[in-house]
Amino acid sequence: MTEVKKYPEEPLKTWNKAKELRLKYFTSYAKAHETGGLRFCGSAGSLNSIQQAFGRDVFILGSEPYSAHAAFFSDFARKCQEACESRGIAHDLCGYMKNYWGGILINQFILPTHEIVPWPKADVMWTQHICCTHAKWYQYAGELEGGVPEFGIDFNCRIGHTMTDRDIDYVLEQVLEGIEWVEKVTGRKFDDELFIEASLNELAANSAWGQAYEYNQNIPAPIDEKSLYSFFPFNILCPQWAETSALFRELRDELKDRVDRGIAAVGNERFRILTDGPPQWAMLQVYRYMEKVYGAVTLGSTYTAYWGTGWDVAEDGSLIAAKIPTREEFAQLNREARLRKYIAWKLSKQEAYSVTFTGCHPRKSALMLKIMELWKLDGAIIHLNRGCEGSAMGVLENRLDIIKAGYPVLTYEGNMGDVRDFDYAGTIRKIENFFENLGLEKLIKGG
Amino acid sequence: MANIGIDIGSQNTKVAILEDRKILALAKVPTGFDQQVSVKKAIKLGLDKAGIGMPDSAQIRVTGIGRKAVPDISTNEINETMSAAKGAFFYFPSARVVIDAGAENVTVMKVNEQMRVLDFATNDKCAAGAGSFVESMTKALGTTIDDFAKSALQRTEKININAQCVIFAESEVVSLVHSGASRADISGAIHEAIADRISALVRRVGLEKDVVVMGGMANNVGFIDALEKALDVNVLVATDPEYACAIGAAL
Repeated sequence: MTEVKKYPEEPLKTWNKAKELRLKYFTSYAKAHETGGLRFCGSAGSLNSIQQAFGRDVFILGSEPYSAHAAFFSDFARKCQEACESRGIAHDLCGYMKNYWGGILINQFILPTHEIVPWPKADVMWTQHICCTHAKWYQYAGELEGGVPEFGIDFNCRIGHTMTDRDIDYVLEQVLEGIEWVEKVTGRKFDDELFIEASLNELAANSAWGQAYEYNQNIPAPIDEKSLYSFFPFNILCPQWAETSALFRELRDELKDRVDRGIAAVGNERFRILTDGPPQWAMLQVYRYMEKVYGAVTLGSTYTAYWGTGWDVAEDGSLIAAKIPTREEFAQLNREARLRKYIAWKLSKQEAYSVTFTGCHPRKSALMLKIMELWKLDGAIIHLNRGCEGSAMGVLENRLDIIKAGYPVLTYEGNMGDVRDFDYAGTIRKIENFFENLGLEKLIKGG
Repeated sequence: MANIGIDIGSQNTKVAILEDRKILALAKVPTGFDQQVSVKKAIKLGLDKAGIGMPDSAQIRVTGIGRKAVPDISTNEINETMSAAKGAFFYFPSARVVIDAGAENVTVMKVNEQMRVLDFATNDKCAAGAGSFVESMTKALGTTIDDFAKSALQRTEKININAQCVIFAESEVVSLVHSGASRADISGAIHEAIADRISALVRRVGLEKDVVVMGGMANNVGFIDALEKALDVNVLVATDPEYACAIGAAL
């Protein structure tokens, strides 16, 4: 039996606050109409502060994190998937989209408490087109819901630190048109003061997430990827809320304290793993298996590192949590200039976002390797995700690039939204083969 | 002291009994539902063939898809990639790529000269490159596996099986039968499709010489021929290839 160094462990103090915020987020969207509020829906992280500027009682549903949350409840997700298939929707379309469309079809919306309420029909669809599927997702959802007005913004590949002024203008022009459109369909006015407040919260949350994330460069890591999954969606669900930036600052401070005191997420940490896109949500126990049986901790990904996180990219490719503008810098600008500054910050600093959804594998590989270097990782586990064409594109090339750089890589097949595409026992066998071939003996007999 | 290696596969349970790297006996029984029963039967069969009783304090090492199912019988376990690498090295120490093609699973491994598995790829949830695919196609053509495999070498016309899925491929085979294609041509096309599938896994880990093929599929001459063409190399086939993992476990 291998002797393993033990680090002290402690539960995360901010964990319960994340659970409370998640419940508040989904419940407030479901109940928005009870207080005369509006429901905006679309791809998560579609420039939330702009939507929030139409009223404090605007509640925004990020549909991918909702669908991921639904996927976690595998029986519920199965009903959604099968409802889509009964309607003739192909099995191999986006796993998230089918959980969303399926919810409309069965008229069920699931809350974190497992309570199921009637599907909350959106009032406005405001979304971004980050992949070929997203462009159709909300169009069809709107049709299924009996006609919901939709406005889509094309970000295309124009994201990341290489963005040009022209790229920013391309998005800005669409946003300005979109604001006019929302004013027309809702009868509400865009409130500049509310936008300033929301956007400063949003950028502060995104930056604080980056600062928190950096603490996982420490050995032992103070937080594991499975726990990061419970926090990071707020980066795109409700970053414009003051509670989110407060939560992330608290998490950051807690992680700093854990690093200072040598507290580990996993006391047996001996192998540090990078993963990539959305996981198999219904089977997150795979992470705990690796930790418990092999001391292998997944502690970072291009997923939790990218969506919503603001990074500055140094000349050598290093990622540093981005600085945020001050209130004065924002307030002194006119609306168009302020929107421009916000868009530029949001889109140019989401480095991994662009390379993850555009199949741009050389840039994604470079980013993965940089994370592996900075976060002191030993290997990678990549999800061959049948449920997401965008994030699966190019991953086998990423795998080869990482192997060439000298790191071992394991791949497994699954579907982020649909547990029917996942072979738990087969994946565990692959994991065992992977670690044992690397010379890691089981810490627990039988495993 | 004799060592016993057991490979619990999805279709058959194989036993290898070795002493000082010399094979005393090889035996197999269908795995069935109850792995405990099959393993006991296979061990007894192996011991009978070897003409020995159960050695005191024998090492009984188990591998394969069912390796966790018999903790009361095995003394320890070894994962399937490690046992495959050991089995391949037992026959061919020059092995650098090992293809283990069984009834349901295909695993391709890249190994170094120290027998360490550097990388591996599997067919995941699809059996299109595995033995059960061949069995299904054999049934569709109303022939035996042996005849089906040999007939592939007699093909005169190149036709393609486009489907990658067992179910769809079977339907395509039925269509080809009714369109008048010969059994040999259909068999050749099926084996080519299987070889393409497995050669894609080989390319995922990187093609290097020597390539060793083991598992039940290695007995299929049609498959071996198609694989050599797909990879453009001569492959090495272990003697008693379906026992190679069991041998690896016994070593």
